[in-house]
Amino acid sequence: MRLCLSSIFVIICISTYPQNIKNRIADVDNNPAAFANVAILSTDSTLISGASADADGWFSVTLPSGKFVLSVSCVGFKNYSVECENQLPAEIVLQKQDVDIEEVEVTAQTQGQYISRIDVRQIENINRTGLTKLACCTLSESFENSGTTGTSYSDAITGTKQIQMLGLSGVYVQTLGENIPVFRGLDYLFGWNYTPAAWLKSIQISKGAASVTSGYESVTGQINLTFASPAEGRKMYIDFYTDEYLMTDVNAVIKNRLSEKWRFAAFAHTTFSLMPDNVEARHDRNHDGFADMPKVSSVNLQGRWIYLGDNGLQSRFVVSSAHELRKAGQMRMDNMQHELFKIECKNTHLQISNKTGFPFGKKEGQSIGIISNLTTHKTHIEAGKKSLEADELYFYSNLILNSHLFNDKHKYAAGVSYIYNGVLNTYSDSLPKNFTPEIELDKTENITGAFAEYNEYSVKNLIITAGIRTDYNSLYKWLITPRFNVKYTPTDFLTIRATAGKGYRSANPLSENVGLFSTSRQLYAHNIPQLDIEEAWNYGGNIILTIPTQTDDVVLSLDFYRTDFKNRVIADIEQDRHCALFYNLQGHSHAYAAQADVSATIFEGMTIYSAFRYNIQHIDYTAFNQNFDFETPLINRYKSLINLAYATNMRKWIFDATLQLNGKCRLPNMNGYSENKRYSDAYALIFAQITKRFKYVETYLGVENLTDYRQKNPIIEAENPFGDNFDASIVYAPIVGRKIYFGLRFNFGKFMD
Amino acid sequence: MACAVFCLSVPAKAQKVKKATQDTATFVVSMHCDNCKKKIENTLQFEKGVKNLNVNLADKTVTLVYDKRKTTSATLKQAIEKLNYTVEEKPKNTTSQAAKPKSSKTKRTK
Repeated sequence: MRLCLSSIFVIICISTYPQNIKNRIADVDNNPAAFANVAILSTDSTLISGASADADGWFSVTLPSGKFVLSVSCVGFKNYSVECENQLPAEIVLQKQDVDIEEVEVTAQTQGQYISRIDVRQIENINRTGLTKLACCTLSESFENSGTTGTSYSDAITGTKQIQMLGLSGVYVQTLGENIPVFRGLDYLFGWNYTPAAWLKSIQISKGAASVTSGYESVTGQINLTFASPAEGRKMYIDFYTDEYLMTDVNAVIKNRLSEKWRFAAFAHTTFSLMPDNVEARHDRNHDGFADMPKVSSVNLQGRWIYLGDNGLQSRFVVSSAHELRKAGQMRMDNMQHELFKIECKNTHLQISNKTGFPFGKKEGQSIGIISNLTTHKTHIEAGKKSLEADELYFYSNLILNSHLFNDKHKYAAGVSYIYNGVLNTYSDSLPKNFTPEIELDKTENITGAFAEYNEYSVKNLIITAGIRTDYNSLYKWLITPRFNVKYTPTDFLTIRATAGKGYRSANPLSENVGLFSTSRQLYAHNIPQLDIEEAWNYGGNIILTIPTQTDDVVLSLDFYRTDFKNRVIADIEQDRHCALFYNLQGHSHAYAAQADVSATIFEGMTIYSAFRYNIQHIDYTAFNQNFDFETPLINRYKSLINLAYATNMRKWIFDATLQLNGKCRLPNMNGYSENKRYSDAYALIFAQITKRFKYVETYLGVENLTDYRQKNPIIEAENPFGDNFDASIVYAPIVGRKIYFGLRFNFGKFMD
Repeated sequence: MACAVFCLSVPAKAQKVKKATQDTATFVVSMHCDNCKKKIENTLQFEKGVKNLNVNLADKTVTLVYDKRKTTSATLKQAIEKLNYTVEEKPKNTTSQAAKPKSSKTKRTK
């Protein structure tokens, strides 16, 4: 074929003598392939000579006599290789390569988030632009601007936020840090709150059935975090953030090239409060005696090493540690009848992991990947009279073979995995009414699994992915996880996806419902060992319409997902306001989520992103063998957001404004199942930020919750925290009102490559 | 259809030289990845006299609109060379072709 094409072109220059030869490289339209790399190899692939083409595609090279191989590579073109004898081919014609993936990502840089049209799964990508639209000190805050995920509050005291997806709690999302499961088990809640967004390059949020290669734990979707690469950007990054409450954040990233093969990046983060203790009264704007936000101090460090060896071997090592202490609770009491209600949460986290990949066997593109990870996590919670001491040891290992059948249109991945997960919870409650002496809950899982996933690309415009995994869990026995994804792109303007898949999850009801510690409820912790593994099916689909316009494409995305629980761990707080019961689902539980997203460029520099999501979730509570169907409490019926971003020429000034509407949610019953339904108010939040960029520094000034919307009386019986009815877990809106913040980001040093 | 829309959109997107004091220069640069593109963008947008900039990775071109009173195309060429790239200035008569739309989005995904 290539020879055929070559023959169409006029012979420009051929020398019959084996010496210095000049020739030109062009594409099929005879445009020069600028700066292409040219190599002359012997027939056994040793390099004889090499050259680089100039801007017009011309190069000169010394030729050997006899047979040799000419190899030409150039970005945007397929690699060209041809066997020659004594002379170069008449014309070297390169075929354009599909570099669409790169292009979509490149073009989308001005949009903070966009939905991929490439992947078989529906993936919303939040890039650096998206991550810097808000203050985004912690990861949980990075999702305010995302339509796919929402944030909710665990309680009115600890200030921890959790994410939601497809109308379900974030526990059903599997989070990966560059393909290694993170923020799971005990770390689920706090990981989101102490990992800084400043360390990340991008976040990919995928809805529906995820790949089986990372385990069975994903139910509603997967979130992948991509950290700043040691091979990109400037050498040093430092940022500083503070707000009107003097909560201060400092982050630093240093990249270094240690040697030809080793690269290194160090990440550091710290949070502290500069507010002197004697003005703490400012922290209680609703005058309930409780601090509106906790005092958080944390130190989080991470080192990432990348080794790029010869013959394609790649290895990444990560060592990370985090310490976080949050103190909150009552600051004063009008009549000092008893002690103050204080909360202290302490988290210590340590993670060591390695990911190694290398080409394997003779097949081109065939490789083996080995992932191993060890995580230890310690959580200590003291809340009034309740106390939880929890330890987790998590070992994850995965071996994956990536290969193809016949050719690269039929790819597959197959492998085996082993996981050890041991959690020890020690819980006690010394409140006289629900006196629970120290109980130990020990859960140890040994999970051995095997998986295979097949990707079919042979039919034009169609990608089919089918995966299955089988795991043997020492506690829950055999678990089969089938998952299926399909993407069809009939025209350039339309992308259709469908997905179905299963997921499982072993719940940790105490640490996942940390809000219950801010109540006087009696937690029926002794029921926890009887809980089964959570099991759910997820089905869904997505349509993306791309409408080209003068300025840019208008992208419209519609999706619908349903999650059906076969088993679910229920934390029932509605049967009785004085206790929290934990039991397995007896009846039905399902969730629907429908979403529409539009992103467009209004005029050059001005972009709009708008999303509307409606979700509803039902759950059956069980009492005395009778099921009671309820809409799950504290899940907002809808979330709607409009983000307007304007950037001046070359993005020197950036203006961002986001309007977020949060729908009403059902409030939990306080007097048993038969009570009349109560709903919260719907509310709006406005975020705004101005950023000015200089060569080495960016500075920003912003406001969160501009209209100062706050939930009224978020704490029930705040004046009597050791009484029977105290409850600070019913939170659906911000407790902290308007917050003005300011920050600086420095980027300096040489560019890494 | 798409092609027609695209063709119409070209004149709207081409970079205009608004004032008499401004000029345009296009360089062919030996960049090869998205990282190179970012590197050039981040450095050149804060270079003295640069009014607008368009880095096209597919065509390997950097098109700059600059203030003639503050800088010259030779200075700008040096600024890119400082980043360790081979740079060649394209002759003026081809600049209209080089000042393509900002993105290569016209090559659509499959």
